[in-house]
Amino acid sequence: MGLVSAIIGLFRKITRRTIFLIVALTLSFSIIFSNVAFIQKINLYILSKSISWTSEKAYNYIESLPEGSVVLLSADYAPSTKVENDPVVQGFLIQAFRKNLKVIAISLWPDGAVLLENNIKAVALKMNKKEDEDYVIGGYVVGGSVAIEKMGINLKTAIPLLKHSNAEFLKNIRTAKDLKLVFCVAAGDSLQSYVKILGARYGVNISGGCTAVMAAEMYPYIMSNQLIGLFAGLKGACDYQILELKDQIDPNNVPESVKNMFAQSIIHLLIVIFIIIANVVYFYERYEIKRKIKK
Amino acid sequence: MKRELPLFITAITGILIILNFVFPELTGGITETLRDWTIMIASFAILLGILNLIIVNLRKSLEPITHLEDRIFSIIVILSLVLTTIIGLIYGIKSNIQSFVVFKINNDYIFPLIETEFLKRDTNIFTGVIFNSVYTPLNSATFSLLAFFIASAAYRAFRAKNFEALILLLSAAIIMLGRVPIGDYIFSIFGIKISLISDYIISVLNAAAQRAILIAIGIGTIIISLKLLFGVEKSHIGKGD
Amino acid sequence: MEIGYLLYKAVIPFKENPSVLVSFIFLITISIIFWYYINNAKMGKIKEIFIRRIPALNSIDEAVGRSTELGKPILYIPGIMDIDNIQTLASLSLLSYIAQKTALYETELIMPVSRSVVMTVAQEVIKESYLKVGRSDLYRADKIFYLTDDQFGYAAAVDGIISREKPGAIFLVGAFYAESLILAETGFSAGAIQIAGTAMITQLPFFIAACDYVLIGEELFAASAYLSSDIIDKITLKTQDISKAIVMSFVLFIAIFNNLLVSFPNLANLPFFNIINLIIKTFFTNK
Repeated sequence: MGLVSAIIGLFRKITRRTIFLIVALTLSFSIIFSNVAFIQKINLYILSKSISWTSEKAYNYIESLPEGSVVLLSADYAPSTKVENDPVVQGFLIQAFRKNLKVIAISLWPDGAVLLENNIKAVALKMNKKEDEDYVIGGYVVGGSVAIEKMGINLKTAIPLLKHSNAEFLKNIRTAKDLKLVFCVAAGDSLQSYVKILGARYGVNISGGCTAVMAAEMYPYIMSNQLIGLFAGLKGACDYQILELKDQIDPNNVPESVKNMFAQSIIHLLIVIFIIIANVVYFYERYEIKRKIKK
Repeated sequence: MKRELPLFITAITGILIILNFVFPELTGGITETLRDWTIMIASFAILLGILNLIIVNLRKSLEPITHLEDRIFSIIVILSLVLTTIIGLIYGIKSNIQSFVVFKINNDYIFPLIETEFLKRDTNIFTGVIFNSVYTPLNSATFSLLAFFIASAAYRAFRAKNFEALILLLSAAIIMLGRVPIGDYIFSIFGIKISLISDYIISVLNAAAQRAILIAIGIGTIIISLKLLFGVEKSHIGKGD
Repeated sequence: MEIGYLLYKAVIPFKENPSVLVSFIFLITISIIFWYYINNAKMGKIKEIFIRRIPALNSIDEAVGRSTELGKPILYIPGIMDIDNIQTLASLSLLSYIAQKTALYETELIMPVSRSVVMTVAQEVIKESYLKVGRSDLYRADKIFYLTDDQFGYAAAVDGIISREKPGAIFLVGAFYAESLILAETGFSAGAIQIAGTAMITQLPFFIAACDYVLIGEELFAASAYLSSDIIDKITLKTQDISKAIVMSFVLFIAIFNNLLVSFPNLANLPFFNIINLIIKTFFTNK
């Protein structure tokens, strides 16, 4: 009994600061250890066996698009969620360029435009794709949901930079209805705006990725087919990299998102452990109160 | 008149935008102009914000009653605002195109790695220094505070005080473990694939509850909009009865 | 010719996407109900309606009172979205109630905002509220100030304000994203009474974990009507409930109907079922 109360006493001493310290230490170590080859291999193996159905659905839909289809990529996130969203944008670009889809790339967030340009130029360079031929950069589009509404009426007035482009594939595109797919990677409400405005009103196919915290909110739209599929959070990012790169992945040097998954795994486990400790303390305290009352 | 005119404008533009949802062909022209105005007003509003920021912080840094600490913060705010604006106006956010030409990739690399390689070669002072080296880390750092706060909030809030709390706590634990590979790894000892259970909770149980809240919020939004259109809600223009 | 052409143009969208017609009819129905109740209230036919208790709103007085006792300021955060967001508007109408209370108790109200238009509107709202209770001398425009449009920049600045000013009560009402928990946890550690309200479903759990009272989803939209003494304001809640009942009955009917069809496929041969099935397929199904 003495040992139990000693442990409980120790647990009771846990304050906010202790939690912060433990989280910081655990995170730092797990980020360092995520480079260990053995951990990388296990992570990759388990992740490739448990790909989310929403990711698979989104991936297969893009796979089924005919060559030369025009798609819109909207990267609406800031550097803060780069870790979750960047791999999805990169995965989409690799898949789209491999399938010879024509990409119009925009961002409804000013910071997103810089990140998008970095991504698209890096991927295009590797895959030998040319600007104004295989893709167009629409840059930062002002107006948020107002801009999305405008896309339904006239794509080129909604995205002014398209007017200056002489890309061949833009000639047949008048409104968002002419797009085969809108792929939105969002950290805010823009994915929902695309579903509610372009999807519900103009019947455009919408798919995309989002941060993990938003994922729960998007499921009703997936279940009602208003959203084709979803790459949710870091898990979605890993799914995309694994689906797209498949055998090309070197098990000793896995993509960054798969590596980061180790840190996320550990921190999730840690939080579950904290919850268990909190409950042990809670039940012990209840037990003690009951015992005192009996006395 | 000071009250009626804004209400009248709200009603007319609101009705036009609603009609545009139903009859886009008929009302396309006029609503597009209205939307352009919205975007223009929103863009100009930033000037208003900057002006307020400068005035408030200048006053803070000059007023004798302000603490020294606050005064330093205010001066930093003003300095960084001015500096970023000047550098941004000179260099712009367009990345340096030349750096792409000299930039070569090792073909074995996987993309996220390339990007860091590529960022190092970005010589534009705005994107290279301010955006990638100052803004991005600061932004990520504030966001990553969430990891600490979630841990401490979970420690405090998830207690099985009653049956409902127990269910909440269990489903939270299942989803947390089901979304990461370690969950499947641990539970494979018992022959359970926890990622499937977590998928079921998210896509069936969660979606049902989310849908109910979504519909209720949708209706609430419609009612507030109607209150604005009918002029019942006046507080946003200063409620004067 | 003109009228014929216009009619043709008006019909095209329905042909392309018939579900728009349902939305349109639903909207008109709600508007008619809304107008009917408001008219009745204006003519004095409805004097009082029953509204269920919302604890978060009842606790506003307590929060303001406690802050006053402690001599600490009150912090009001209207979310991070612009004035075009309905949640921000709902938040501002709640603000007008809270500002009246703070003016009455002579408590300081600090309001950092992340959108400049919201700032100007909030200044107007607070000024009017102070005027209404006859304390316009207490109003200070520089207590309502703009910080930054950037989400985490704003969160960091507000966290700084919370830890320096140590407010007695914090109101987090409006549209929030990932910064919700960052703000709420800092507020918790500063020992403030926290009242939150948002319709962002994903942020609700965070607020529930870290705040004392939370307005969940539609409660935020009902807040101003709940607190108002005006029957016309209150009556709008009735429309909200009726609209909800309409949607619920549709959902229930279609769910039962579809389940019947799956369980007894022979029913599809009956003309009545056939017609209803066709209507559901055309008007209530996403392509």
